[in-house]
Amino acid sequence: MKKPLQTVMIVDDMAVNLSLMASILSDYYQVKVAKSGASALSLITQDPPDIILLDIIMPDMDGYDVCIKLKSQLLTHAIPIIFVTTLNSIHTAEYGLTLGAVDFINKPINPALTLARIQTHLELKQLKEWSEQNQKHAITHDNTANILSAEELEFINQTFFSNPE
Amino acid sequence: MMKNSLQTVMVVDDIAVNLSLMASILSDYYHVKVAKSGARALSLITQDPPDIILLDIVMPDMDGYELCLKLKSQPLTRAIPIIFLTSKNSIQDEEHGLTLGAVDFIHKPISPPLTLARIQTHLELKRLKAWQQKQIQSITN
Repeated sequence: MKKPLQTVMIVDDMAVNLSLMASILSDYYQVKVAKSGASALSLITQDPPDIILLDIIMPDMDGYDVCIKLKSQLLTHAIPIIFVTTLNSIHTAEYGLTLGAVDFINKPINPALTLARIQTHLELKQLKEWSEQNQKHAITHDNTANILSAEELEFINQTFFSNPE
Repeated sequence: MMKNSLQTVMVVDDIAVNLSLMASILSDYYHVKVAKSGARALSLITQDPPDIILLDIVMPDMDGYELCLKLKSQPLTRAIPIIFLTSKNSIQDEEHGLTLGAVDFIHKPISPPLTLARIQTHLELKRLKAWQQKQIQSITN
């Protein structure tokens, strides 16, 4: 059976940018698109993607606003966000990182570098999830080992807590 | 945290001022080693492999691409993530670097937070991949 593709959500108010990004990514990922911040929030909350490529300058709700909202919700806060921007300034990148974005891609985009960064953050997300699951399992296992049997509990009660008559 | 418990970043650049700048940005978080040429870097990296390498492309004698090729051809150094440092913004250069095995690019003038974020990303990915390998080995053995 073919492994299901991971989902990339692209958010950009320019249709031509959405088409370009979709054409680059669709051989490797399931691609979803949104033309506004509000539409993106709605789609992402309904069915969270594995990663988000988020334009910064959009009317009404800009990329920074979308990022802040997503990072404040339990359901969406762990989804990696990569900002896609024509604002090639250090200040822009640094501000985006403080909001919780994991990286930046500058327009005009380089398809190979875009794919490499997406792959890096998807792989990192998956490994983090496995590692957390493994730790939870280890904790549960240790707790189980510490649970006393009824006989052991009775023995401890009788030995240490029974009042001598 | 004790300094010797930090992960090691090797910075390779032929310009001393670039090495100083990078060392000043990284030294609060990592153990930093520097090399001013490809040949010197190759010798230091082979003797004591760092956890990650930041590699300038344009250097005399042995450039960053050539050093990357050499490191990716040796089993001891193959798995060390390499991030190219470049003042060029060329799609062809970036594609070439990625095909040689680099994991990412950082453009000069660098953003300290973005540089630190990319280093952290690739160090964490490397650590978790090693953990995954151990898990797989422990299941299959």
